[in-house]
Amino acid sequence: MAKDTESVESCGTGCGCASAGHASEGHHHAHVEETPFEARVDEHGTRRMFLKLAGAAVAATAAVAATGCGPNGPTAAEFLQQHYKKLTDEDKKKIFARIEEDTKARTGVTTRVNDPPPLDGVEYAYALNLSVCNGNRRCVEACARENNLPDDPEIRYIRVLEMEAGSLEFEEATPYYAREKLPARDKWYMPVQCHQCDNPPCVRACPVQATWKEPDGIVVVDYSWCIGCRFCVVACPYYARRFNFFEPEIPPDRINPNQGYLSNRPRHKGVVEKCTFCLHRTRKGRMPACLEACPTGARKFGNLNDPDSEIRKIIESKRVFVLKEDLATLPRFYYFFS
Amino acid sequence: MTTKLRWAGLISALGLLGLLGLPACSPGDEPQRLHTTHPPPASSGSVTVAARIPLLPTYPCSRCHEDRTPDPRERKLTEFHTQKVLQHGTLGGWCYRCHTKDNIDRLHLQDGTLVTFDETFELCGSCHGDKFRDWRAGIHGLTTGYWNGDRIRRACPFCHDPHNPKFPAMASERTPLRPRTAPAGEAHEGHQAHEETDGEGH
Repeated sequence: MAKDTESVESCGTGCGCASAGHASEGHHHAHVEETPFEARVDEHGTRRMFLKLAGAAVAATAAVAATGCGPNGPTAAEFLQQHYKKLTDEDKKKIFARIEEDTKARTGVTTRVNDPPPLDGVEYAYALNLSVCNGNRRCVEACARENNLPDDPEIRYIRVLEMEAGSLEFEEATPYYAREKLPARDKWYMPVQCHQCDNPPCVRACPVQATWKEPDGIVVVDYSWCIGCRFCVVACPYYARRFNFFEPEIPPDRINPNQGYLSNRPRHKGVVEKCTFCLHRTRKGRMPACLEACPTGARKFGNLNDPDSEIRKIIESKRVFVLKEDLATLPRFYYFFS
Repeated sequence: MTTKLRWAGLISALGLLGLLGLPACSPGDEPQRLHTTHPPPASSGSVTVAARIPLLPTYPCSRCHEDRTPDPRERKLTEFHTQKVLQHGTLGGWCYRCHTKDNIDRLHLQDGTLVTFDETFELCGSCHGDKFRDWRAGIHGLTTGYWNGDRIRRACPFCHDPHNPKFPAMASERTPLRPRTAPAGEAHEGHQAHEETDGEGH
C-alpha cells in the first residue's frame, strides 16, 4: 500500500502523534501537563498488586459474590484481571477462552474472541455525505447487530438527528422520528456516533485509564477495567458513549460470534461502551458494518495516511467539516456535502 | 538538392505515420472506446464494478426483441414493460435514446458507442459528469469489500432506476426508545416524564 511518508511523521508538536499532513493544519493539541498513560496504568497496577498482597482481593471476591451480580455479572477471575496493556499474550489467550466459555454457558452460542492489533502506518477516518443521507437508520440497526447491542434496554451507538432544513440547531433536533417516507419534506438528517477524536476528552476524564486512544486512532474501552463512574459519558461532547444501566440481554440467535476484545465482546451491567469503527472488522481490512448497511452510500471509510484512499480524496476535494470544531477535539469523523 | 531531400524525407515520414496510425483507427467488431472510464484501481487493491446483467430478469432483450420491429413512437406500453415509468428529463427518441434499435442487448452513448448493461456508468456519466467524477473516485455511491484491498462498487442502476432516477423514498428503521431509568418490569411508567424532560440533542 502506498503511504504518504510525510503524513506518518509526528505532527511536530512533540506529542508523538502520527497525524496526517492535512489534518495537522491547525492541529492544536491541548497540551496539558499530565502523567503519560502508561505510567498511570503502572501506578494502578502497583496499587492493585498491593491490594492483592494485602489480601483485599479475597474480600473483594467475596464482595462480588455477595452483591449478587448474578450469573451475568463479572466473575471473580474477571474482577481480578490485569489492565489490558499489562496483559501478556498468554494472559489474553486465557481471558479470551474464559469469555468464550462464559458466553457458551450463558447463551449456548459458540463465539470467537480475538484481538486484532492496530495496523502499522494506518490511521482511520470516516466521512459521511450529508447530501445523500436520508435518515433511514439502516446503519443504526446494522451496528446494533454487529456489535451485540441490546434492544431492551436499548443501546445504540449511532443516533440519527432529524433537523429542519437550513438549520444546524441541535437543541431542536430529534433522533425519535418515525416516518414512512424518507427523507421528509424540509428535513435533513445527521447521524452522530463516536468521532474517535485525536484529542479525546473522554480519555482524559477516565480516572482509571480504562479507555484510551489506540495508535490507529480508535478510542477503545477495556470493559473489564471500567468502574462505571461515567465521567467519560459526561466528558464526550458528542453524546457518543453509552452506559449499561441494566444487564444487557441479547437473544442467542442475534449474537455476533465474531467478537473483538476491545469492541463487541459481551459487556456487563455497569460499564461504558461506544463505537469502535468496528475494529474487529476494520483491522482485518473490512468496512464498518454501518457503511455496508447504508443503502444511500453516504458513508465512507479508509486510511487517512494513504493519499490514494477515498477518504483522502473526500477531504481534499469536498467541503468537509467536523462537529464542534471549536472544542479542539480533532475528530476523525468528517461530514461533507457533495 | 537539399530541399528535394528534405521534401522526400517529410513525405516518407508522413507515409510511415499513416501506415502506423491508420490501422489503429479502423473499427473492429465493437466500436472502439475513445477512452476508458472504468474506475481506476486503488493503490491498495482492485476496484470491480458489480455485474448488473445477472440481475436483469428479462436479459438478453433480443430473446423477444429480435422478432419485433423497433417502434420509437412515444406511447403507453400495454403488453410488456408496463411497470416502466419514464421520468428522466426530456429524452428525445424515447426508449431508443439509450437502448439501441439494431442491437437491443446494448446501450449506446451520445456518439454511438455501444456499451453493455454492465457498463451503464458510461452512459449515465456522459450527462452527469460531476456525479460520475465522484463515483469514479469512490466518493459517490456504495463501495463494499476491503478498505485496504479489493473492493466492489455499485454502478448507477443499483440505486437509481435509470427510467426514474430519483432515489426512492424509504421508511425509517426501528425508532429509538427514550432512555429509561427503571428496570425492565417497571420500564414504561417512567416514559411520560421523560417526554418532557428529554434533552434530545447535542
